[in-house]
Amino acid sequence: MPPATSTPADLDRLALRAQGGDHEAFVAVVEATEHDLRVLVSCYATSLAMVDEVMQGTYVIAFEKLSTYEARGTLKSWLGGIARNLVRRELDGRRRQQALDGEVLDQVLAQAAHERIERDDDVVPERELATLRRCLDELAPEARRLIDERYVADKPVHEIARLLQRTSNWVAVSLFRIRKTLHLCLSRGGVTVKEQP
Amino acid sequence: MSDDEVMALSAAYVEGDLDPISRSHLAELVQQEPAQAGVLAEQVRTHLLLHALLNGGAACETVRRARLIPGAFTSDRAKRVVDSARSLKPHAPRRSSPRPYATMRWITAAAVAIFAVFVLVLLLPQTSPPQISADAGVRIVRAGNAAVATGELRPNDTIITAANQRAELTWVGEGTRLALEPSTQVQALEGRGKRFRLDHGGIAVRAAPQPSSAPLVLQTARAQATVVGTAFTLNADPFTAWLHVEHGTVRFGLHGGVELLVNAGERALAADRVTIIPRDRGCGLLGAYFRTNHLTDQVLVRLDPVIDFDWASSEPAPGMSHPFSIRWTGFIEAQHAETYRFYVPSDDGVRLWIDDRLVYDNWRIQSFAPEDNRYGVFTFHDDRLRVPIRLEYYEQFSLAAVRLSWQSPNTPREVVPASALYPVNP
Repeated sequence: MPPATSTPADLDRLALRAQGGDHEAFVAVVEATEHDLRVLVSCYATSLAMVDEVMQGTYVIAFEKLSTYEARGTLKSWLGGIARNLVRRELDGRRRQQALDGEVLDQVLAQAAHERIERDDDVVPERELATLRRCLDELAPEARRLIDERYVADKPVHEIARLLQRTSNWVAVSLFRIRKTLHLCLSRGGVTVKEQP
Repeated sequence: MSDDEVMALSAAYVEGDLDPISRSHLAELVQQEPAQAGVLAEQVRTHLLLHALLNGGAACETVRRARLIPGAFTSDRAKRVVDSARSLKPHAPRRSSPRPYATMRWITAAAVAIFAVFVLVLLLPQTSPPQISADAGVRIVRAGNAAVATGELRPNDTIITAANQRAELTWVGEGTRLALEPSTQVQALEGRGKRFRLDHGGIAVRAAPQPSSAPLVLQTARAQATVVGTAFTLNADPFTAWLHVEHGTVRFGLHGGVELLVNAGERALAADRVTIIPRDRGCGLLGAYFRTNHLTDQVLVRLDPVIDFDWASSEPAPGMSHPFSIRWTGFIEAQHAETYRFYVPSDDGVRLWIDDRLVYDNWRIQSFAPEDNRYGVFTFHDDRLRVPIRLEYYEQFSLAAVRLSWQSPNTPREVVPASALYPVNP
């Protein structure tokens, strides 16, 4: 679960302490911003590994450049700027590398994500999350259970299949359909469309 | 291809479960029908958002890593660790009314800085070749001819130590030192800075701060480590590279891949990916994967957090088909000094050694029975709660599965968790 919300002023106070050499304050900044930043990065990354790498890189750079941050209530957008730049660099690198490897799927995803990050510059993590929560609340109970098993309990597909006495294929396809429903709901700003298993 | 099949392939891709043949089918489909590419991208995006919203584990890891960040910056020289990222400018908060004088000052400062860097690069001294100091018998191969290793090591020279031989490379005027362990082969590479390829064996490095434009780079078959003023050890074979950082920070990554920052006291493994091995808890066993059913013709090594696989008829790793075999090695740590039962249901054969003692042997073709009650036993003692473990497994045909569980008076029957399995003795 995300930590309690910190106001921009709270974050600035932490940033000022961190600028003064208080490492625990820096860790507190990470704790307070991690969730939103992860959502932002997840909008443009192409894999979980890439999300983790960008998150780590963002905070390393943020630590180094912390002295340049001017406390005006914009810490989250400052971190978001670093993260976006890192994602861009990652996507560029992967597109070039994957073109050499002939990895069509990864290249296609990197290309799509690159176009998205160049196109929309206005993803607000809080809004994206609130919409996704609304969409999740609209799911049928059995669909919600699948989502909980997969993402909250972090169980792999084959384990969920064993639990529900279904085939792995059924679980994977059901999750596909639910994600499609959620994507449509997200793109319509939280309005559900009836397409669930 | 039916809609259901397309969905199943896309879903498997999102989960990372797609075998190479299905992957090429999906790739063809995406190329033929661009709309499918959009669907796949939507799936990945929603998958990642759900993960970010609902899964708290990743956040803990980020915070854990953040706690380690300050240590990497306690000295000025260690700040070079993010030199590759320095060119990235974070979004500065927008000013409502830009001030022309401030803008002019910035432009002037930037121009001066660029000029200074340009002059600095021009004036940078070329790296001198390292001096060799070696035990008797250490060989150097230069232009195809072998000779006794003395004098300088030049680009394209290869230096080879046999068992019980050591050698050292040093640079005049700086404290950098590369100590070659016995049975090691290293080639000096061309290029700016100090560049070497470690073919096999190990090197201990003590590096003075290196200029970012002329770094000290050590390559292995799988990975490369870029030095920014530190001390570390790198060991390599064709499938893995181990990095152990003593001081400072090292950038470490697979060739062409993303590099991780490995901090002082940390150990990292480059196998199918780069993983930082935690110091305070287990994280899995090293699995060596073979193309035959008798542990020959190795394909890859990777870190497997737990041994609980149900591949059915799919491939355990890209480029592998049935039959295949796997050898997992590392250390296992018990919580209690007592006798544990080890259950290893499998399809097909399996045998398990703990502390170099064969405790379970079921090396035959068989079906996977998760509730199989056959087991091997091993008693852990207070002074030896962590001991070596080796698990060998082979799959002959059709379905494939294997699971390693344990049970003791104080431990319910469960899959041996990653926290109890160590790829190396920490």
